[in-house]
Amino acid sequence: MRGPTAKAFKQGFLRSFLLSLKSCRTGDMSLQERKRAVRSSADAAMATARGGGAIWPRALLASSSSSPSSSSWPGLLLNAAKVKTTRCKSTARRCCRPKRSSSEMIARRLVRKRTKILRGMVPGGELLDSVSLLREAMDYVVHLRAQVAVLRRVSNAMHHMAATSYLTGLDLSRLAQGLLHRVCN
Amino acid sequence: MRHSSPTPDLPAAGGEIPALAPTSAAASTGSGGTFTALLGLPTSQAIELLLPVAEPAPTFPSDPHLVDRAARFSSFASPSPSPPPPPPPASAANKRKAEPAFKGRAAKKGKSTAAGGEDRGSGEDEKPAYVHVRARRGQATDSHSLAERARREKINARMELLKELVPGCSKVSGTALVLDEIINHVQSLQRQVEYLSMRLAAVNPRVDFGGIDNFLTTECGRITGLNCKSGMDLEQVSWPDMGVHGARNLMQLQQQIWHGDLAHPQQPASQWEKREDVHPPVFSSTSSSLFGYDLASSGPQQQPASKLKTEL
Repeated sequence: MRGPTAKAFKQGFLRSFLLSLKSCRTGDMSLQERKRAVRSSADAAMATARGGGAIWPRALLASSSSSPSSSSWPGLLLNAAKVKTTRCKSTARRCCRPKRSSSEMIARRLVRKRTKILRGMVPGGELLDSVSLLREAMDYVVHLRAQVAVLRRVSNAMHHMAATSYLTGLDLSRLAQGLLHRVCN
Repeated sequence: MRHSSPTPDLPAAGGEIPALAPTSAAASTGSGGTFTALLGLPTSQAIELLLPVAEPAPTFPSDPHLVDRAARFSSFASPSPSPPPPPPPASAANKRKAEPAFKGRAAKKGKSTAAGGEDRGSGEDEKPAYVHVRARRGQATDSHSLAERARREKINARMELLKELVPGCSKVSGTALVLDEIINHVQSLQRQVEYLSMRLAAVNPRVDFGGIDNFLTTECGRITGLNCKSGMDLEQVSWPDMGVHGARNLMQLQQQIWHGDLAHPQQPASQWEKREDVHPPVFSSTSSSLFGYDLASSGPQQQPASKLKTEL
Protein backbone atom coordinates (compact mmCIF):
# COMPACT_ATOMS: atom_id res chain seq x y z
CA MET A 1 0.00 0.00 0.00
CA ARG A 2 1.02 3.56 -0.44
CA GLY A 3 0.38 4.27 3.25
CA PRO A 4 3.70 3.49 4.89
CA THR A 5 5.63 4.78 1.89
CA ALA A 6 3.58 7.96 2.05
CA LYS A 7 4.74 8.52 5.59
CA ALA A 8 8.31 7.70 4.66
CA PHE A 9 8.17 10.06 1.72
CA LYS A 10 6.73 12.87 3.81
CA GLN A 11 9.35 12.39 6.47
CA GLY A 12 12.15 12.29 3.97
CA PHE A 13 10.75 15.31 2.21
CA LEU A 14 10.46 17.24 5.45
CA ARG A 15 13.97 16.36 6.42
CA SER A 16 15.49 17.45 3.13
CA PHE A 17 13.30 20.53 3.04
CA LEU A 18 14.35 21.71 6.46
CA LEU A 19 17.97 20.98 5.73
CA SER A 20 17.94 22.98 2.54
CA LEU A 21 16.09 25.82 4.22
CA LYS A 22 18.65 25.98 6.95
CA SER A 23 21.50 25.99 4.51
CA CYS A 24 20.34 28.92 2.44
CA ARG A 25 21.01 32.31 3.92
CA THR A 26 17.74 34.11 3.73
CA GLY A 27 18.54 36.89 6.07
CA ASP A 28 18.77 39.75 3.64
CA MET A 29 16.71 38.62 0.71
CA SER A 30 13.60 40.25 -0.60
CA LEU A 31 10.27 38.53 -0.29
CA GLN A 32 10.29 37.28 -3.85
CA GLU A 33 13.74 35.87 -3.42
CA ARG A 34 12.77 34.13 -0.24
CA LYS A 35 9.74 32.66 -1.89
CA ARG A 36 11.84 31.44 -4.75
CA ALA A 37 14.36 29.93 -2.34
CA VAL A 38 11.62 28.19 -0.41
CA ARG A 39 9.97 26.91 -3.57
CA SER A 40 13.17 25.57 -5.07
CA SER A 41 14.21 23.91 -1.86
CA ALA A 42 10.76 22.31 -1.59
CA ASP A 43 11.01 21.01 -5.15
CA ALA A 44 14.52 19.73 -4.62
CA ALA A 45 13.48 18.02 -1.41
CA MET A 46 10.51 16.41 -3.13
CA ALA A 47 12.67 15.15 -5.96
CA THR A 48 15.31 13.84 -3.57
CA ALA A 49 12.81 12.09 -1.39
CA ARG A 50 11.16 10.42 -4.35
CA GLY A 51 14.21 8.50 -5.38
CA GLY A 52 14.87 6.87 -8.70
CA GLY A 53 11.61 5.20 -9.52
CA ALA A 54 10.41 7.85 -11.92
CA ILE A 55 11.66 10.32 -14.49
CA TRP A 56 10.31 13.53 -13.07
CA PRO A 57 12.61 13.79 -10.01
CA ARG A 58 15.70 13.88 -12.16
CA ALA A 59 14.13 16.33 -14.55
CA LEU A 60 13.06 18.52 -11.66
CA LEU A 61 16.50 18.50 -10.11
CA ALA A 62 18.13 19.20 -13.43
CA SER A 63 15.90 22.16 -14.14
CA SER A 64 16.36 23.61 -10.69
CA SER A 65 20.10 23.18 -10.61
CA SER A 66 20.58 24.70 -14.07
CA SER A 67 24.05 23.28 -14.41
CA PRO A 68 25.95 23.69 -17.67
CA SER A 69 25.69 19.97 -18.29
CA SER A 70 21.94 20.00 -18.01
CA SER A 71 21.53 20.02 -21.75
CA SER A 72 22.77 16.47 -21.97
CA TRP A 73 20.51 14.99 -19.35
CA PRO A 74 17.57 14.22 -21.62
CA GLY A 75 19.63 11.63 -23.43
CA LEU A 76 20.99 10.27 -20.20
CA LEU A 77 17.56 10.00 -18.72
CA LEU A 78 16.29 8.16 -21.72
CA ASN A 79 19.09 5.67 -21.67
CA ALA A 80 18.93 5.13 -17.98
CA ALA A 81 15.23 4.62 -17.74
CA LYS A 82 14.79 2.71 -21.01
CA VAL A 83 11.92 4.92 -21.93
CA LYS A 84 10.20 3.98 -25.10
CA THR A 85 10.37 6.92 -27.42
CA THR A 86 7.47 8.05 -29.46
CA ARG A 87 6.51 5.57 -32.08
CA CYS A 88 7.07 6.62 -35.64
CA LYS A 89 3.79 8.16 -36.61
CA SER A 90 4.05 7.58 -40.34
CA THR A 91 3.83 3.82 -39.99
CA ALA A 92 0.68 4.05 -37.97
CA ARG A 93 -0.95 6.45 -40.33
CA ARG A 94 -0.22 4.36 -43.38
CA CYS A 95 -2.25 1.47 -42.14
CA CYS A 96 -5.15 3.39 -40.70
CA ARG A 97 -8.52 2.69 -42.15
CA PRO A 98 -9.71 5.21 -44.72
CA LYS A 99 -13.14 5.54 -43.11
CA ARG A 100 -12.39 7.74 -40.10
CA SER A 101 -15.17 9.94 -38.90
CA SER A 102 -14.51 13.62 -38.41
CA SER A 103 -15.76 13.50 -34.84
CA GLU A 104 -13.11 10.96 -34.08
CA MET A 105 -10.51 13.25 -35.57
CA ILE A 106 -11.75 16.16 -33.51
CA ALA A 107 -11.57 14.11 -30.33
CA ARG A 108 -8.12 12.98 -31.29
CA ARG A 109 -6.99 16.52 -31.84
CA LEU A 110 -8.35 17.61 -28.46
CA VAL A 111 -6.61 14.75 -26.72
CA ARG A 112 -3.39 15.55 -28.46
CA LYS A 113 -3.58 19.17 -27.44
CA ARG A 114 -4.18 18.32 -23.83
CA THR A 115 -1.41 15.77 -23.87
CA LYS A 116 0.91 18.47 -25.02
CA ILE A 117 -0.17 20.71 -22.16
CA LEU A 118 0.32 17.92 -19.67
CA ARG A 119 3.75 17.29 -21.07
CA GLY A 120 4.70 20.83 -20.31
CA MET A 121 3.49 20.61 -16.76
CA VAL A 122 5.03 17.34 -15.67
CA PRO A 123 8.79 17.73 -15.35
CA GLY A 124 10.54 15.51 -17.84
CA GLY A 125 7.39 14.99 -19.79
CA GLU A 126 8.91 16.19 -23.02
CA LEU A 127 10.85 12.99 -23.37
CA LEU A 128 8.05 10.58 -22.80
CA ASP A 129 5.49 9.00 -25.01
CA SER A 130 1.87 9.24 -24.01
CA VAL A 131 1.79 5.94 -22.20
CA SER A 132 4.70 6.70 -19.90
CA LEU A 133 3.52 10.27 -19.60
CA LEU A 134 0.33 9.14 -17.93
CA ARG A 135 2.22 7.05 -15.43
CA GLU A 136 4.61 9.89 -14.67
CA ALA A 137 1.70 12.25 -14.22
CA MET A 138 0.10 9.87 -11.73
CA ASP A 139 3.29 9.60 -9.73
CA TYR A 140 3.87 13.32 -9.87
CA VAL A 141 0.35 14.13 -8.69
CA VAL A 142 0.63 11.83 -5.70
CA HIS A 143 3.90 13.31 -4.57
CA LEU A 144 2.75 16.85 -5.23
CA ARG A 145 -0.11 16.24 -2.86
CA ALA A 146 2.28 15.04 -0.18
CA GLN A 147 4.42 18.09 -0.71
CA VAL A 148 1.42 20.40 -0.39
CA ALA A 149 0.32 18.69 2.80
CA VAL A 150 3.68 18.99 4.47
CA LEU A 151 4.19 22.57 3.32
CA ARG A 152 0.80 23.53 4.65
CA ARG A 153 1.57 22.03 8.06
CA VAL A 154 4.90 23.75 8.23
CA SER A 155 3.61 27.14 7.18
CA ASN A 156 0.66 26.92 9.55
CA ALA A 157 2.97 26.06 12.37
CA MET A 158 5.32 28.88 11.51
CA HIS A 159 2.56 31.41 11.26
CA HIS A 160 0.94 30.32 14.43
CA MET A 161 4.24 30.57 16.13
CA ALA A 162 5.02 33.97 14.75
CA ALA A 163 1.57 35.29 15.52
CA THR A 164 1.62 34.45 19.19
CA SER A 165 5.13 35.39 20.05
CA TYR A 166 7.66 37.86 18.86
CA LEU A 167 10.53 35.49 18.71
CA THR A 168 13.66 36.17 16.86
CA GLY A 169 15.79 33.52 15.27
CA LEU A 170 17.80 33.26 18.40
CA ASP A 171 14.85 32.23 20.48
CA LEU A 172 13.74 29.70 17.94
CA SER A 173 17.01 27.89 18.08
CA ARG A 174 16.82 27.73 21.85
CA LEU A 175 13.89 25.37 21.94
CA ALA A 176 14.32 21.87 23.26
CA GLN A 177 12.84 19.04 21.20
CA GLY A 178 14.12 18.70 17.65
CA LEU A 179 11.46 17.75 15.16
CA LEU A 180 14.01 15.98 13.07
CA HIS A 181 15.09 14.03 16.09
CA ARG A 182 11.52 12.94 16.64
CA VAL A 183 10.97 12.11 13.02
CA CYS A 184 14.07 10.02 12.68
CA ASN A 185 13.20 7.80 15.63
CA MET B 1 12.29 -15.57 -51.62
CA ARG B 2 11.02 -12.92 -53.87
CA HIS B 3 7.51 -13.43 -52.72
CA SER B 4 8.27 -12.16 -49.26
CA SER B 5 8.52 -8.60 -50.39
CA PRO B 6 4.88 -8.15 -51.32
CA THR B 7 3.84 -9.80 -48.07
CA PRO B 8 4.16 -6.73 -45.84
CA ASP B 9 1.83 -4.85 -48.11
CA LEU B 10 -0.92 -7.31 -47.49
CA PRO B 11 -1.40 -6.51 -43.83
CA ALA B 12 -1.05 -2.88 -44.66
CA ALA B 13 -3.87 -3.02 -47.12
CA GLY B 14 -6.04 -4.53 -44.46
CA GLY B 15 -9.53 -5.13 -45.56
CA GLU B 16 -9.30 -4.19 -49.15
CA ILE B 17 -7.44 -7.14 -50.50
CA PRO B 18 -9.86 -9.83 -49.44
CA ALA B 19 -12.57 -7.72 -50.99
CA LEU B 20 -10.64 -7.45 -54.18
CA ALA B 21 -9.61 -11.07 -54.14
CA PRO B 22 -12.88 -12.65 -55.31
CA THR B 23 -13.21 -10.27 -58.24
CA SER B 24 -9.67 -10.58 -59.49
CA ALA B 25 -9.40 -14.27 -58.74
CA ALA B 26 -12.49 -15.02 -60.72
CA ALA B 27 -11.14 -12.99 -63.54
CA SER B 28 -7.65 -14.37 -63.81
CA THR B 29 -7.21 -17.90 -62.63
CA GLY B 30 -10.52 -19.11 -61.34
CA SER B 31 -8.81 -20.48 -58.24
CA GLY B 32 -9.96 -17.86 -55.79
CA GLY B 33 -7.73 -16.98 -52.91
CA THR B 34 -4.41 -17.80 -54.43
CA PHE B 35 -1.58 -15.58 -53.61
CA THR B 36 -1.03 -14.56 -57.19
CA ALA B 37 -4.68 -13.78 -57.63
CA LEU B 38 -4.62 -11.52 -54.64
CA LEU B 39 -1.98 -9.44 -56.28
CA GLY B 40 -4.53 -8.53 -58.85
CA LEU B 41 -2.23 -9.36 -61.71
CA PRO B 42 -2.51 -11.72 -64.61
CA THR B 43 -1.04 -15.04 -63.71
CA SER B 44 2.03 -14.86 -65.89
CA GLN B 45 3.15 -11.57 -64.45
CA ALA B 46 2.54 -12.85 -60.97
CA ILE B 47 4.60 -15.89 -61.65
CA GLU B 48 7.39 -13.69 -62.89
CA LEU B 49 7.36 -11.94 -59.58
CA LEU B 50 7.39 -15.16 -57.68
CA LEU B 51 10.02 -17.12 -59.45
CA PRO B 52 13.61 -16.05 -59.88
CA VAL B 53 13.89 -14.53 -63.31
CA ALA B 54 17.36 -15.93 -63.93
CA GLU B 55 15.94 -19.25 -65.10
CA PRO B 56 13.74 -18.78 -68.09
CA ALA B 57 12.07 -22.11 -68.43
CA PRO B 58 11.13 -22.77 -72.01
CA THR B 59 7.71 -23.92 -70.99
CA PHE B 60 7.17 -20.93 -68.76
CA PRO B 61 4.61 -18.87 -70.63
CA SER B 62 2.91 -21.75 -72.33
CA ASP B 63 0.85 -23.22 -69.55
CA PRO B 64 0.12 -20.64 -66.93
CA HIS B 65 -2.10 -22.89 -64.90
CA LEU B 66 0.53 -25.59 -64.51
CA VAL B 67 3.16 -23.08 -63.65
CA ASP B 68 0.82 -21.40 -61.30
CA ARG B 69 0.23 -24.61 -59.43
CA ALA B 70 3.96 -25.27 -59.31
CA ALA B 71 4.60 -21.79 -58.03
CA ARG B 72 1.97 -22.22 -55.44
CA PHE B 73 3.55 -25.35 -54.12
CA SER B 74 7.02 -23.90 -54.08
CA SER B 75 6.21 -20.60 -52.52
CA PHE B 76 3.84 -21.80 -49.90
CA ALA B 77 5.85 -24.71 -48.70
CA SER B 78 7.14 -22.94 -45.66
CA PRO B 79 4.56 -20.54 -44.30
CA SER B 80 1.38 -22.53 -44.63
CA PRO B 81 0.30 -25.77 -46.31
CA SER B 82 -2.23 -24.20 -48.64
CA PRO B 83 -3.28 -20.64 -49.18
CA PRO B 84 -6.90 -20.68 -48.06
CA PRO B 85 -6.47 -22.95 -45.10
CA PRO B 86 -8.54 -23.52 -42.09
CA PRO B 87 -6.46 -21.66 -39.53
CA PRO B 88 -3.80 -23.99 -38.27
CA PRO B 89 -3.88 -24.46 -34.54
CA ALA B 90 -1.80 -21.93 -32.67
CA SER B 91 1.52 -23.60 -32.43
CA ALA B 92 3.84 -21.52 -30.33
CA ALA B 93 2.78 -18.89 -27.91
CA ASN B 94 5.04 -16.21 -29.33
CA LYS B 95 4.56 -15.74 -33.03
CA ARG B 96 5.99 -12.86 -34.96
CA LYS B 97 3.76 -10.33 -36.61
CA ALA B 98 4.34 -11.33 -40.22
CA GLU B 99 3.07 -14.83 -39.85
CA PRO B 100 -0.35 -14.09 -38.47
CA ALA B 101 -0.98 -12.02 -41.55
CA PHE B 102 -1.93 -15.14 -43.48
CA LYS B 103 -4.05 -16.46 -40.72
CA GLY B 104 -5.46 -13.03 -40.25
CA ARG B 105 -6.58 -12.86 -43.84
CA ALA B 106 -8.28 -16.17 -43.75
CA ALA B 107 -9.66 -15.62 -40.33
CA LYS B 108 -11.10 -12.30 -41.27
CA LYS B 109 -13.50 -13.96 -43.57
CA GLY B 110 -14.70 -16.25 -40.87
CA LYS B 111 -14.42 -14.05 -37.80
CA SER B 112 -11.20 -13.96 -35.94
CA THR B 113 -11.70 -15.55 -32.57
CA ALA B 114 -11.11 -19.09 -33.59
CA ALA B 115 -11.87 -21.85 -31.15
CA GLY B 116 -9.00 -22.32 -28.81
CA GLY B 117 -7.80 -18.78 -29.35
CA GLU B 118 -4.95 -17.63 -31.46
CA ASP B 119 -2.13 -15.81 -29.84
CA ARG B 120 -0.51 -12.95 -31.52
CA GLY B 121 2.57 -11.14 -30.40
CA SER B 122 2.27 -7.45 -30.39
CA GLY B 123 6.01 -7.08 -30.42
CA GLU B 124 6.67 -4.62 -27.68
CA ASP B 125 10.15 -3.38 -27.71
CA GLU B 126 10.53 -2.40 -24.17
CA LYS B 127 10.18 -5.74 -22.46
CA PRO B 128 11.03 -9.27 -23.55
CA ALA B 129 7.62 -10.81 -22.82
CA TYR B 130 5.05 -10.56 -25.56
CA VAL B 131 1.68 -9.05 -24.91
CA HIS B 132 -0.96 -11.38 -26.19
CA VAL B 133 -3.75 -9.47 -27.79
CA ARG B 134 -6.86 -11.25 -28.89
CA ALA B 135 -8.46 -9.75 -31.91
CA ARG B 136 -12.09 -9.27 -31.18
CA ARG B 137 -14.98 -10.09 -33.40
CA GLY B 138 -15.20 -7.87 -36.40
CA GLN B 139 -11.96 -6.04 -35.76
CA ALA B 140 -8.91 -5.85 -37.94
CA THR B 141 -6.37 -8.46 -37.20
CA ASP B 142 -3.31 -7.16 -38.96
CA SER B 143 -0.22 -6.56 -36.95
CA HIS B 144 -0.22 -2.79 -36.96
CA SER B 145 -3.72 -2.37 -35.73
CA LEU B 146 -3.10 -5.04 -33.13
CA ALA B 147 -0.12 -3.18 -31.80
CA GLU B 148 -2.11 0.01 -31.88
CA ARG B 149 -4.95 -1.59 -30.06
CA ALA B 150 -2.59 -2.92 -27.38
CA ARG B 151 -1.19 0.54 -26.96
CA ARG B 152 -4.65 2.05 -26.77
CA GLU B 153 -5.64 -0.45 -24.13
CA LYS B 154 -2.62 0.46 -22.08
CA ILE B 155 -3.47 4.10 -22.35
CA ASN B 156 -7.06 3.44 -21.38
CA ALA B 157 -5.99 1.43 -18.36
CA ARG B 158 -3.78 4.25 -17.19
CA MET B 159 -6.53 6.74 -17.78
CA GLU B 160 -8.72 4.66 -15.50
CA LEU B 161 -6.11 4.78 -12.79
CA LEU B 162 -5.72 8.51 -13.21
CA LYS B 163 -9.45 8.95 -13.01
CA GLU B 164 -9.46 7.28 -9.66
CA LEU B 165 -6.62 9.46 -8.53
CA VAL B 166 -7.93 12.85 -9.49
CA PRO B 167 -10.97 13.97 -7.51
CA GLY B 168 -14.17 14.48 -9.39
CA CYS B 169 -13.07 12.57 -12.43
CA SER B 170 -15.06 9.40 -12.07
CA LYS B 171 -18.20 10.95 -13.47
CA VAL B 172 -16.44 12.39 -16.44
CA SER B 173 -16.22 10.19 -19.49
CA GLY B 174 -13.97 10.67 -22.44
CA THR B 175 -10.25 11.00 -22.61
CA ALA B 176 -10.11 14.70 -23.37
CA LEU B 177 -12.26 15.70 -20.41
CA VAL B 178 -10.35 13.48 -18.02
CA LEU B 179 -7.11 14.98 -19.25
CA ASP B 180 -8.66 18.39 -18.67
CA GLU B 181 -9.36 17.49 -15.06
CA ILE B 182 -5.89 16.11 -14.57
CA ILE B 183 -4.33 19.25 -15.97
CA ASN B 184 -6.48 21.41 -13.72
CA HIS B 185 -5.55 19.33 -10.73
CA VAL B 186 -1.84 19.52 -11.41
CA GLN B 187 -2.08 23.26 -11.99
CA SER B 188 -3.94 23.77 -8.75
CA LEU B 189 -1.42 21.71 -6.84
CA GLN B 190 1.47 23.66 -8.29
CA ARG B 191 -0.27 26.92 -7.46
CA GLN B 192 -0.80 25.71 -3.91
CA VAL B 193 2.89 25.01 -3.61
CA GLU B 194 3.62 28.54 -4.82
CA TYR B 195 1.20 30.03 -2.37
CA LEU B 196 2.47 28.01 0.55
CA SER B 197 6.08 28.81 -0.19
CA MET B 198 5.14 32.49 -0.35
CA ARG B 199 3.45 32.10 2.98
CA LEU B 200 6.49 30.46 4.46
CA ALA B 201 8.72 33.16 3.10
CA ALA B 202 6.49 35.82 4.59
CA VAL B 203 6.36 34.40 8.11
CA ASN B 204 8.88 36.79 9.51
CA PRO B 205 11.34 38.42 7.18
CA ARG B 206 13.91 38.65 9.90
CA VAL B 207 13.72 35.05 10.89
CA ASP B 208 16.34 32.80 9.48
CA PHE B 209 15.32 29.23 8.94
CA GLY B 210 18.18 27.97 11.04
CA GLY B 211 16.24 26.86 14.05
CA ILE B 212 13.08 25.85 12.32
CA ASP B 213 13.34 22.23 13.17
CA ASN B 214 13.32 22.80 16.84
CA PHE B 215 10.25 24.86 17.31
CA LEU B 216 7.87 22.74 15.29
CA THR B 217 7.37 20.13 17.98
CA THR B 218 6.21 22.60 20.49
CA GLU B 219 4.10 24.19 17.84
CA CYS B 220 2.20 20.94 17.57
CA GLY B 221 1.46 21.17 21.23
CA ARG B 222 0.27 24.70 20.75
CA ILE B 223 -2.16 23.70 18.09
CA THR B 224 -3.87 21.36 20.50
CA GLY B 225 -5.18 24.40 22.31
CA LEU B 226 -2.79 25.08 25.12
CA ASN B 227 -2.94 28.36 26.79
CA CYS B 228 -0.12 30.60 25.74
CA LYS B 229 0.87 34.13 26.36
CA SER B 230 2.80 36.22 23.97
CA GLY B 231 6.25 37.35 24.89
CA MET B 232 6.92 34.46 27.23
CA ASP B 233 9.53 31.92 26.76
CA LEU B 234 8.15 29.18 24.61
CA GLU B 235 9.40 26.43 26.80
CA GLN B 236 7.32 27.69 29.63
CA VAL B 237 4.39 28.23 27.39
CA SER B 238 4.48 24.78 25.98
CA TRP B 239 4.36 22.98 29.28
CA PRO B 240 2.15 25.17 31.40
CA ASP B 241 1.19 23.84 34.79
CA MET B 242 1.41 20.26 33.83
CA GLY B 243 4.40 19.02 35.66
CA VAL B 244 6.26 15.94 34.64
CA HIS B 245 3.29 13.77 33.85
CA GLY B 246 1.63 16.49 31.90
CA ALA B 247 4.71 16.94 29.83
CA ARG B 248 4.73 13.27 29.00
CA ASN B 249 1.10 13.41 27.96
CA LEU B 250 1.85 16.42 25.89
CA MET B 251 4.65 14.62 24.13
CA GLN B 252 2.36 11.72 23.39
CA LEU B 253 -0.26 14.08 22.10
CA GLN B 254 2.21 15.82 19.89
CA GLN B 255 3.36 12.52 18.55
CA GLN B 256 -0.17 11.48 17.81
CA ILE B 257 -0.96 14.69 16.05
CA TRP B 258 2.14 14.77 13.98
CA HIS B 259 2.19 11.12 13.10
CA GLY B 260 -1.50 11.07 12.59
CA ASP B 261 -0.99 13.62 9.95
CA LEU B 262 1.85 11.78 8.38
CA ALA B 263 0.50 8.30 8.69
CA HIS B 264 -1.88 6.70 6.35
CA PRO B 265 -5.48 6.78 7.50
CA GLN B 266 -7.00 3.51 8.46
CA GLN B 267 -9.83 3.34 5.96
CA PRO B 268 -8.55 4.47 2.63
CA ALA B 269 -11.67 3.44 0.81
CA SER B 270 -13.98 5.54 2.90
CA GLN B 271 -11.68 8.48 2.60
CA TRP B 272 -11.85 8.20 -1.12
CA GLU B 273 -15.63 8.06 -0.99
CA LYS B 274 -15.73 11.22 1.02
CA ARG B 275 -13.41 12.97 -1.28
CA GLU B 276 -15.51 12.22 -4.28
CA ASP B 277 -18.12 14.66 -3.08
CA VAL B 278 -15.80 17.38 -2.00
CA HIS B 279 -14.51 18.95 -5.10
CA PRO B 280 -12.10 20.56 -5.03
CA PRO B 281 -10.63 19.79 -1.64
CA VAL B 282 -8.76 23.00 -1.29
CA PHE B 283 -7.11 24.04 1.92
CA SER B 284 -8.81 21.48 4.06
CA SER B 285 -6.91 20.16 6.98
CA THR B 286 -7.67 16.54 6.14
CA SER B 287 -5.32 16.60 3.26
CA SER B 288 -3.50 13.58 4.53
CA SER B 289 -6.19 11.25 3.27
CA LEU B 290 -4.74 11.20 -0.16
CA PHE B 291 -2.89 7.97 -0.16
CA GLY B 292 -5.67 5.49 -0.22
CA TYR B 293 -4.82 4.98 -3.81
CA ASP B 294 -2.51 2.11 -4.36
CA LEU B 295 -0.47 2.31 -7.47
CA ALA B 296 1.03 -1.09 -7.09
CA SER B 297 -1.96 -3.29 -6.53
CA SER B 298 -4.74 -1.58 -8.36
CA GLY B 299 -7.85 -3.48 -9.22
CA PRO B 300 -7.28 -4.50 -12.81
CA GLN B 301 -4.38 -6.87 -12.78
CA GLN B 302 -3.01 -5.97 -16.13
CA GLN B 303 0.34 -5.32 -17.67
CA PRO B 304 0.31 -1.63 -16.79
CA ALA B 305 -0.39 -2.42 -13.16
CA SER B 306 2.36 -4.97 -12.93
CA LYS B 307 4.72 -2.62 -14.64
CA LEU B 308 3.86 0.02 -12.11
CA LYS B 309 4.57 -2.44 -9.39
CA THR B 310 8.05 -3.09 -10.61
CA GLU B 311 9.03 0.42 -11.34
CA LEU B 312 7.46 2.48 -8.63
